[in-house]
Amino acid sequence: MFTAILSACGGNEGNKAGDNTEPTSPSANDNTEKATVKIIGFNKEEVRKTYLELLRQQFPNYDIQYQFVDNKQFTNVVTTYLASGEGPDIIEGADARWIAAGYLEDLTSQPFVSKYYETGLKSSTINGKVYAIPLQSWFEGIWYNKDIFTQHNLTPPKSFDEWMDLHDKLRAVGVKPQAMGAKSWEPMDKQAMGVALNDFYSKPENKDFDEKFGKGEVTLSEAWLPAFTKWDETIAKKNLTPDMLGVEYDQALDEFATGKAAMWESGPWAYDTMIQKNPDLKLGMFPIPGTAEGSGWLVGGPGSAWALNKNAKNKDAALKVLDFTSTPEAQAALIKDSFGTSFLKGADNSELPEQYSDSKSAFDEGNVYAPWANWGMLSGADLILELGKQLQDHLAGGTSIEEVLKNTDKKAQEIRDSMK
Amino acid sequence: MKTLDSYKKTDFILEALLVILAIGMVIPIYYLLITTFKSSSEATLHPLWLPADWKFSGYADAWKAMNYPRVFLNNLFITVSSVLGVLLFASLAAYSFARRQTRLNNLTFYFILIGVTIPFQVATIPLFRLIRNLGLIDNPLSVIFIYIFTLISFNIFLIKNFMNTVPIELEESASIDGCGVAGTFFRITLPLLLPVIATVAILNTLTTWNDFFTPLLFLQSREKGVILLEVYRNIGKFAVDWTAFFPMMVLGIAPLLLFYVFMQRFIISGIVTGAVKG
Repeated sequence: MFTAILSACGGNEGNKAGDNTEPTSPSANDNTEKATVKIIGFNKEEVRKTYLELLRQQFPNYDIQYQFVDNKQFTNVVTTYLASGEGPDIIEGADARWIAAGYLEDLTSQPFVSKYYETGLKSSTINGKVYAIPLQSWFEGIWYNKDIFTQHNLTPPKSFDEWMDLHDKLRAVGVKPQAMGAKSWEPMDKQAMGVALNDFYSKPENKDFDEKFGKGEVTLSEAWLPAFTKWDETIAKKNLTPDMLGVEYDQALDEFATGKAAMWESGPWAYDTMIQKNPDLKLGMFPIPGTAEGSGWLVGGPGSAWALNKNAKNKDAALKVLDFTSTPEAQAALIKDSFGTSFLKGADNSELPEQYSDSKSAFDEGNVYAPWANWGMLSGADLILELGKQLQDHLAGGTSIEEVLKNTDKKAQEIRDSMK
Repeated sequence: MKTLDSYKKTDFILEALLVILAIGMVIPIYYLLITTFKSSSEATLHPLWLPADWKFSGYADAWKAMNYPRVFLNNLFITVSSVLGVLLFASLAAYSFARRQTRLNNLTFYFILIGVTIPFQVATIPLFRLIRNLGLIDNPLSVIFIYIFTLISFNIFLIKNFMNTVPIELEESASIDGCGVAGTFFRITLPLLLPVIATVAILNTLTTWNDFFTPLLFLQSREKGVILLEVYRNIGKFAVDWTAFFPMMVLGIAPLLLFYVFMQRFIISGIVTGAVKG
């Protein structure tokens, strides 16, 4: 069912040479020396629990250690390790700056790399070289409260205008349409990009836009302006209001989970917490709609990836771990603790849980994509953060939507110049 | 009567303001504590109500999830060793700087003071390399050494300035009675420094106990971690379950709170000592 996602946007199913390769399950029994393999990640150990247990079973002669570092500190801590010539063997994420500094191993020639679809490898490929293998995908859409929708005879929207009408109908019956933690840079970025995915990225001629943007050959202000102007209607209609700039992610989650708002944008990672906070909650997720009626798009893509430290103390052992990670068994273990889909060719992607059934056609059509993951040297957090800040300023009434995109282009050029 | 009336009115307004301020201060602590006894859904739906059913399982879960005895002992060892180290070296250095004001000593003192102005982040990578070359990565000693050397500048400054108020005649008398330099310091000067030592001990304890970044960077294995690292490991990446998080916070700050309550009388006695000094 999910194979379509994997071929989305990239359009290329990758290296066909690996298609017929049977997944290998290397055993550590051939290695009698006890080796420590250190993995550092910004996901909690619990999110990798089943996978780590599987690794420890698979490699009884390896001491598999996992170090969790909070997302806010992760880049600083790992950069310090790497800059000192130290650090764990396997690292979550392949930051463009680490690649530019030569801290990460080029994995392109490793046999396990060809077992993945190119869409999964794209975000960690720079100048044709692959620096990390993808773990399960992530996606984000609009959560909605099924009870509120049923009570007022409402159904998930198929177009952006329908979605705006939905806000009006909910307001008319005294329900707050949408909770939004705009204190974070993420939700507005993703919502506006969601419209761009429908209106701009779905056209075949824009398939290579992100690579070109990464290199500075095209600008966001030229390409995205119509879609962002459409999205801006939501601010004009006061569905998003300046007071939301003071709302945190957790506050918006609470507002939605307690039934005080009918919709909220987030991903599968919020599901358990919401149900824990309000066990009676009936949830659904629909994709972000575009100007034309259609299946909509979810913002998402390869979630995170395993990269290899160039100065890894136990490179051979770490490579065996990466090789084993590239098997359906290991991919299933990753998905078990955090729902997503695998980019491994031939992986058995599980059935879609009920709460995502409204997004089924979007999944089937492969409408899952995150533009910034494919911006090459601009893929780090700096530019996406800048766009978020600009949108926050726009919501506060400071800048026009055109200026938002122009200022983001300006920042992109600054980053490109600084990395020359 | 008029004076009394106006006094009472002002007094009432001030007291009312203080009560409002006190409530403002107490509400977050009240919220923190009562949330630890609620279920997740109850905490979300009725954040300020008293729990309908008092649950203690939050503390039991936090204790288990954090492996509290282990992280507590790690924290205690690191904090006590660091604070004792800082106090010993800083007071010895301050003694020398205060009592032997040679040109070289004065220069050295100002050189050490520069340490106060250098942000820790600037020195992170060289420091990491140094600790790695010493073979102390993932060793509590690394964190202890770093605390001692980052805190020592400010401590020397404070203790030296306090020492200037201690009459030198007492030390001269001890010297006449046959006391050596070390004897004079440990028997005469150090006891007189107790108020300032209590103050810097509290400040240093707060800093070292609550530090997150240094242990995060240098203590990589979970067995050697401290309380705050465990709190961060157990909170969500995308959403925080407050009923699980708050008991961890309470368990984390409780020892420090007890220490502060016990030690704060020394600060007050230190202030009083200074105030009545003839």
